[in-house]
Amino acid sequence: MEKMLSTYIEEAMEFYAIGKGADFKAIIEKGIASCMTTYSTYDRELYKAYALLATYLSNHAFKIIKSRPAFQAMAINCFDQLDSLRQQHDPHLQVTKGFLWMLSSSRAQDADALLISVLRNHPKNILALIGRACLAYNRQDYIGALGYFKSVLLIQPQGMADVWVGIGHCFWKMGELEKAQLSFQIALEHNGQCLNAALALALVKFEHNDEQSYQDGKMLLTAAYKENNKNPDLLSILAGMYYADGNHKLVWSFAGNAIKFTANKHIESRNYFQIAKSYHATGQFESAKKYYLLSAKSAPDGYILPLVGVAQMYLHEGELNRSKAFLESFLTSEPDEPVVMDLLAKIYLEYKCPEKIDKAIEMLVKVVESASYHQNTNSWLNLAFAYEQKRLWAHGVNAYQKAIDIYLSQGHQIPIEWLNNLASSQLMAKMPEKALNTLDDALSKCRVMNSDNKTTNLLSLQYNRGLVLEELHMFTLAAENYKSITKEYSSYHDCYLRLGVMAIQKNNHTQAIEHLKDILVEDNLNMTARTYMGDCFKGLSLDKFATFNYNMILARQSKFTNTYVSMAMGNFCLEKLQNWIAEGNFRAARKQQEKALQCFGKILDCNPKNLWAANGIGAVLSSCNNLSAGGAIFKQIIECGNKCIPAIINSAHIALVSGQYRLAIQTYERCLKDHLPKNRVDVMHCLAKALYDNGDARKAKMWLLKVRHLVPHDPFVIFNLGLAIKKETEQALALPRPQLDELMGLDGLLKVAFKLFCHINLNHPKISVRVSAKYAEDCQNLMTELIAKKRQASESHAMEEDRVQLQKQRYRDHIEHQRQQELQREEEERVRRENLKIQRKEVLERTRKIISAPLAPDVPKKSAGNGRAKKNQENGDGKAKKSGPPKKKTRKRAAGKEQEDIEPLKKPKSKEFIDTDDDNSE
Amino acid sequence: MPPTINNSAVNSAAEKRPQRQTERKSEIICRVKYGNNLPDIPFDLKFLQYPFDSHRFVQYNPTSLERNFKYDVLTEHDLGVTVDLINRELYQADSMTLLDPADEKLLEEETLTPTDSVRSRQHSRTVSWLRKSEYISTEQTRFQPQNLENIEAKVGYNVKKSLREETLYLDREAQIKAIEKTFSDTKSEITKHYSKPNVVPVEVLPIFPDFTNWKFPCAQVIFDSDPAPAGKNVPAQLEEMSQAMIRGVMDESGEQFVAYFLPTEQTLEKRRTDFINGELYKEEEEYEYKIAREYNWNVKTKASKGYEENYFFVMRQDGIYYNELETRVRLNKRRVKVGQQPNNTKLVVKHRPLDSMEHRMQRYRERQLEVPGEEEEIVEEVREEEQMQIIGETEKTSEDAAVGAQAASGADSPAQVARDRQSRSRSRTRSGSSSGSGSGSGSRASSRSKSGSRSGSGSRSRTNSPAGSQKSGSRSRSVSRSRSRSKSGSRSRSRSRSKSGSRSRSGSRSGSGSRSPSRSRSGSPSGSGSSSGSASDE
Repeated sequence: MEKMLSTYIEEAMEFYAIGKGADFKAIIEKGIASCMTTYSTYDRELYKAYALLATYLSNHAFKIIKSRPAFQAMAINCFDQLDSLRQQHDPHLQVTKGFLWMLSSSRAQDADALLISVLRNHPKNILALIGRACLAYNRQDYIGALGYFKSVLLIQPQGMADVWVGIGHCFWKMGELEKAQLSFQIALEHNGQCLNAALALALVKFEHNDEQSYQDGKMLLTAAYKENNKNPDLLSILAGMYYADGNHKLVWSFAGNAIKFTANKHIESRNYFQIAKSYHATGQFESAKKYYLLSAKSAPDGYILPLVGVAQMYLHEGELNRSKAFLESFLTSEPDEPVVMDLLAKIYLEYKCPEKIDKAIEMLVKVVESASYHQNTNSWLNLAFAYEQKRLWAHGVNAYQKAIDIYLSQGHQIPIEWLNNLASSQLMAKMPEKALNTLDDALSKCRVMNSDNKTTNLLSLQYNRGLVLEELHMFTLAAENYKSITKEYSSYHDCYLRLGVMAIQKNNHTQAIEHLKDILVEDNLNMTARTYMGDCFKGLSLDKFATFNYNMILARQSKFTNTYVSMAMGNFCLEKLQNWIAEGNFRAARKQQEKALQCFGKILDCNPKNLWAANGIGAVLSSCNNLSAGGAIFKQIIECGNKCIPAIINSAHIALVSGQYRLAIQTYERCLKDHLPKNRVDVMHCLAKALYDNGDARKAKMWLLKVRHLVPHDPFVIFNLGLAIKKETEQALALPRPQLDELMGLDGLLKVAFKLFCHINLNHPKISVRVSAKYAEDCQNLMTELIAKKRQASESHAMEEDRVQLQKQRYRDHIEHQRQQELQREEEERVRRENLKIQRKEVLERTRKIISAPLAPDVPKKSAGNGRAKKNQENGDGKAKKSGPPKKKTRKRAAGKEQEDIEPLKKPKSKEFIDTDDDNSE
Repeated sequence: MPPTINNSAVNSAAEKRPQRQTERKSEIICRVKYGNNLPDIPFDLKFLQYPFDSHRFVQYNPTSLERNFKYDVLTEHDLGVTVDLINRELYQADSMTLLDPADEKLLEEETLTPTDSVRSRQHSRTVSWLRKSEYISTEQTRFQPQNLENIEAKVGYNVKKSLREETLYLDREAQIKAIEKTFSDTKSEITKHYSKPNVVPVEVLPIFPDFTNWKFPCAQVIFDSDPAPAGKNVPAQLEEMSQAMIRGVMDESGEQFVAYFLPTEQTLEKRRTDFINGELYKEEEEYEYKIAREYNWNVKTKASKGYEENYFFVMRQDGIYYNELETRVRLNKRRVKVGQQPNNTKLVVKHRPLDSMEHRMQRYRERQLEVPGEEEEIVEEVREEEQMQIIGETEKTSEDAAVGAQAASGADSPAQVARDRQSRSRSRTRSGSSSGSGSGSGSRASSRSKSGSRSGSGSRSRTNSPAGSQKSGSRSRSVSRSRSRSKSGSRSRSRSRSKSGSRSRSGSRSGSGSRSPSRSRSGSPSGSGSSSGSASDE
């Protein structure tokens, strides 16, 4: 007879009680599969069996991480079976389903709803409260989670210890470490074998950052490991601890086991990283690379630590591109990580590309400014090296100084190499004095200490010292320095080269050739020496020897490309081209043109930005009268912003030949003033020609006089000077009324010009004899004309003098006449004033008489008054007659006034007159 | 050097230019020479390469990320709180043990800051010039009809009255005493009305659940207008409507509606004969019904949201019984479309015995009335009497108790109903066991409380006892018709689709047999839809 399902259930529960979960599951499944007979309680027991199976699978899904999805799927199938049985809803089953759905983040809300529905009917369901607490924690509602855990403790105070673990986690997340620590301790007190509590307590201990707490945490972890040696978190932390202790075997063991027992990508990647770190620390780079790559491969988003390790492994193998890619991807997440920036900057410097070097400098500046790398000597040296490549010498000096200061502060001896490089940077930064001091310091140290590279270091230091002395214009000391080096090391060719260059700079080509020969005796293939040799022979106008040296260099063009020699050869061909054109040999000139263009074109193929090659092509084209093309080239070179003085002068030449004299004059003057060294005779000569052609013979004469002062024996300068004087004289004689003073000066100049032309005619037959003779004759003719002009000028001058005297005489007569008129006016004025005084006295006398007389003589007073009036009238008439017309006018007015005064006096006088007659009759 | 070069160049040029001189006398002899002077070869200082350590890039340097790394405690979903979902005993509430004082202190909430306490003190201050908020009730103005206002006022009065009664419980002990008193009151003799002093009981009848008819689901059907057939007297109308059939159907265009079928004269004769003979129905006999009206339907069941549970009373010779109305059907007359012909559908009903599933459903419903102890026993009761109680009612005749049952449709979602019933049974069981009283007293207590809430209805029932007896008789007849309805649904649809007049007994029986389980699981309209799908498959 078949067993009943309840029997199977009882057996399964017995197995579960003794801890055999697998057997429990197997028996339940067997019972469900084998019991097919329907009896009265079969449905209820089937329901119970499925419920137990679902509960077991859900519970197991929490514990097993590796194959959790499989157990979840099995549990879901059981729940579907339970739903199909159409039984009433069991709250415990709902709680189980809620826990199952908690494992899936997407169904957290469903789980919460299920647990809420259970709690609505059963507010004290502990499992539901724990589930809600876990859900609240996972959605970062730590306060809510803590509340639910508290509710659990209120319902069941002496319940499971794990609730305290949950409470501790909530306090941990809320930042209350003390309460978290207490909670975990309580959990351990309740259950000494609670692994989660031990693990959490250990981590809290680590947060205290002191030795005792660290040791306590370590003991806790060790004890936890004894309880459960398969917890991935625990294994991972232990691996990290043993890495810090340097026990790499244990690191590999623990990290490997953590990888084995976990399904969490983050834990897996972290432990791969720890294994790789251990191999890295022990120098096993192949294994380290393998595990770094595994860590990077399994890393979740945002975990970028393995990228640095991978980059370092590729760097060790020399694969810069791959290393660069990993470091750059790291910096996209953490833009300001100094370690990564330091590594990436070094990689960028290896490329020797300007853009990469700029990025390297930018990153290195950030690195040396960060707190952890501020005292790192290597970073400062890398920065100095980067500045050297960018030729930012001042910054490089600063970086070297920083590195040296740090190194000294750390109690180390400064290497000679650093001092030498610092001195080199100082010289390039226009600080030769400091460079000299640094080199002397380095030399003294290098002589004292013994190192592997002592000989080569001493040699380099002394050579650099010579260069510094040259920069300081101490050429004698520099020469002595170089000679002392050559005495000890006769094969050090750079010293001979420097001696030769100094001789060339002194225009001592013969001496330079001797120095260069010393080099070529031992090293016939020294291209630099041969280049300078060619230049010396060219300077001595020894074309064959120059060509020989240049051709020897160009014959080895297949081995290396020497742009300088090609340029020199091109310039040589250009010069010959111009000579052939001057001689009229156009066929030979064309040949030289092709050779020159070939040389310059080859250089441009190698380096399209070579300005001198472009200028050379322009010069060739212009020499062959392709002025538009040549002018365009020169203009482009000038517009590109770089100062190429030959191009500027060539553009002025183009303007001169094209007839743009004003532009040519301006350009020549600007070059002579700003760019060119003093006493550039050829440019002055061209300027004189431009001025002469522009019609300013006087200024042309002045510039030519300067040129003759510099090169007194140049026949062309003499000829041109005479020509300028002649033209100036012609211009002066062409004036309608020349000045006598100018003519007097020109007389002397013409004599000089005549002599100059005679000199050219006799001594320099290269210039046309006929032309010079003609110009001499012209001077004589001009002299004759000048004499005639002088005579005419003298006569004109004399006539002019006479006319001047006449004008002066007339002027003097005019002045005398004016003076006489003035005297007359003064006399008349004096007379008028005297008359006025007389009238005044009369008035005063009459007033005195009236005042002193008594009453009886009233009548005589009146008659006396009448008499005065008449007298006054008579006097007035007399004065008027005497004076001239203006005086007359003045007196008429005065008389008018007097008449007006008299009329009111007449009326009372008339009465007096009647009284007088009566008196007489009486 | 330049003067020398110039000399040679100019000397060469002079020989070739005398002719030009004659042509242009004023031109100065000056050879324009395009130059390309090169700078000196650069001699840079010699830099010494410092021999760095070859491993300086490969040496491990911890980044700031790693230095600042802190272990996250756990990434599991359960926070390390291990739960054992199988051993339920571990999670029983423990009210005896108290929390350790030290642990309790750790779980205390932080005290409020002084600022918060000051604020709360200010908020709790009472001032005389601010009147407390009063919530104005809209109960009296909610409904438009005047005659309903009084009813709503009474309802509100009852709510307030019940709330007032609840406030009498001062503490837990008082509440316990009140509950105990309800059990003791059931044993006392009723001598007077509880609210009307001059009313005295004439007869005391116990009120029990309707044990015999509890297995049948009951529904209330509400019509928008009187469905009585026109042109007949009231007794004839009542006779026809008491035997009417309500069926969910679908027309040719796929729209669902509810059809109201009335029996034909022939069917009425057959039913009268069955009644006289004392039979529910005759085997292999066909009963025809003709469609009378079409309705749009709106069904609400106990599972619907907002459904108010209603019960009805039945007065019989041996006492008063109550049963529940778990479904309410509201029917609105369906408008006939333009051009649509009047429907001449006929419903042919042939009765059959119930199948095992239907038996099981009825058994589930019956079990809801059993006490928990009886569930463990094996009860195999074969009930010969299979009836269904139906109540029909219209709005117009809601106050007229004389109107009897008219028609009803099947229960909605029997499985859900069964589950709900099971749940209710379990709840009652727990309540009984917790109170400590016997099963008998528990049952009586439930009955009494329900009786109290429905006192008005009870009074109306007693005053109309003759109508009640008529109602009882009509219900008995309608049960038979309901059973026959479920049997012959397929025949009706097949007829309407094929439009043929032939009838075949064997085909009809087998078809209806195969469809009955699906039909019985779902409600009438949706069930008919499902059946229609099956029919189309045939």
